[in-house]
Amino acid sequence: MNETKELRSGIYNKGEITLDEIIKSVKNNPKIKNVGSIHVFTGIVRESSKEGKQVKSMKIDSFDDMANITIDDICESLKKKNGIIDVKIVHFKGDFSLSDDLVYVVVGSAHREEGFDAIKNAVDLYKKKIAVWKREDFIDGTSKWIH
Amino acid sequence: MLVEVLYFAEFKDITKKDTEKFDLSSKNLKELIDLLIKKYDPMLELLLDKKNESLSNNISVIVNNKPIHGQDVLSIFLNEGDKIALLLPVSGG
Repeated sequence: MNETKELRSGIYNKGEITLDEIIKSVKNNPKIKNVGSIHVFTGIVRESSKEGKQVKSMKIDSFDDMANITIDDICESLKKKNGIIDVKIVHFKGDFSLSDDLVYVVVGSAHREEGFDAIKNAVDLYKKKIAVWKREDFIDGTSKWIH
Repeated sequence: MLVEVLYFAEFKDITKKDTEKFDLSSKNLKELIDLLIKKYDPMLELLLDKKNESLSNNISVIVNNKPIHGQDVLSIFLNEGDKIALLLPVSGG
């Protein structure tokens, strides 16, 4: 028997939880036998900004209470879709170096098509809706909060 | 009447604080905005529109974890102990 506890989606400190733990939590879902595919999205720190400036590091700030409510809403709304068994969104906050993991989205779906759609929807929604902000710190010493 | 302001992103950088308490006499949001701008110059550009007449369209007002909607948001009344957050558009990672 798998003893991994159900893991809540939401805001966590950097590195507080691993992708493996999230996948294990999805595999521990009581409805796991209905799942035929597990889809994973990992957002990481990119070296260049959208404007092409060279990024040195990144800071993520969050309004945890509001962000956690919205993340739960996104997960619950996606789980109501046909064939979606489980959705987990974990967003980290804190100070990050290049290539560090910022966010994980894990979807367990009956079939791959629903899973691909759900993971795209989940990413589109969290980027637009959750109370999280990122600041790019550039190698020239300047910084910019992204909106 | 004391209220608490929660700072995020640029606001945290400007104030170097996570939260701050303000003593209001008129009990409305406009007084709080005026106090913030008076204390922290860079907040003027972030909080108000170009004519400095109303709250910027970029700002979302949250009171006690609930979004406040409506055109005349500056006139909303606040209560003792309210927690107010002024949020700029989000940018998830």
